[in-house]
Amino acid sequence: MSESQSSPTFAFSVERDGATGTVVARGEIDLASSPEFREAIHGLVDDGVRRLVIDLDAVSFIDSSGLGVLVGALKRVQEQGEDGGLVLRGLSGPALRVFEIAGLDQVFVLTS
Amino acid sequence: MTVPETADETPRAAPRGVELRIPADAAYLRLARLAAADTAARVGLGADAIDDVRLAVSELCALMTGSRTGIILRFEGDDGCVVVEGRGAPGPGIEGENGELARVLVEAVVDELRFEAVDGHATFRFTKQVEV
Repeated sequence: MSESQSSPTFAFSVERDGATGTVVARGEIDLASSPEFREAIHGLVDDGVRRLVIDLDAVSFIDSSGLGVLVGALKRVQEQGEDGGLVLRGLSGPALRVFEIAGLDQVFVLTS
Repeated sequence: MTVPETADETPRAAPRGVELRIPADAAYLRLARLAAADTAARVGLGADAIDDVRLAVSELCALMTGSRTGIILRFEGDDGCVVVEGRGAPGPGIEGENGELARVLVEAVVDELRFEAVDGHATFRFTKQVEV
C-alpha cells in the first residue's frame, strides 16, 4: 500500500490486489489536489488494474475537477472491456450531494 | 488606545463585509472556502447551506485560477443572507466540460447568480439565504 499527501487537506492511499486497485481518499478534492489524484488513478489503470474501488467515505469536499477525475477514471476502466469496472464506496454528505446535482449518482456504481 | 477628542474622530461601526484578496492559484481555494463558510455560519445558514456556499465560491474562484491577476472576494452577511462577490480574470478552466459543470453546480446550490467574463475581466455575485 502506498500513501500520498498532495496538499495539507487531501491525502490518499493506493492498494493493489491483482487486477483490482483500491484508492482510499481523505479530505478535500479540489482543483489543487485533483491532479495528483488523477495521476494515481490513471497510473493504476495503465499498470493493468481493471477493477477500481475508490473509497470516498472520508472525503469532506469535492468539486467539478474531482468529478472530472472520477468520470475520466470510469471511462478508462470501461475502455478495458467487459471486465473493467469502477465502484465508488462510502459516498455521503456534501460529496454525495454534488454527485446528485451533476446526475452522476446514476452513472456510477455506489456502495456503502 | 487613543480616545477620540472630537465628534469627527468617533470610531465608526465596523464594516459588515470582509474582503479577501488571494492569488489566482488553486492552492488558495481552500482559504476562499473557509471565509465563505465563516460568513455563512455567522448569518445562521444550516450545515447543508454552508456546504453550498463553500462549493459555489470554490467553483467560481476556480474559473479564475491560472490567470495573471489575483482574485478579490467580498463576503457580506446580513438578515439571514450571504452575498459573495468576486472579481479577477478568466482562467483556462473557464472553457471546456469542467467549466460548464462548475457553472451547473453553482446554479444549483445558490439562490441568485451573476457571472460575467468579458474582455479579460471576470466577475461574479451570488446570494444564499437561510431557508425558512
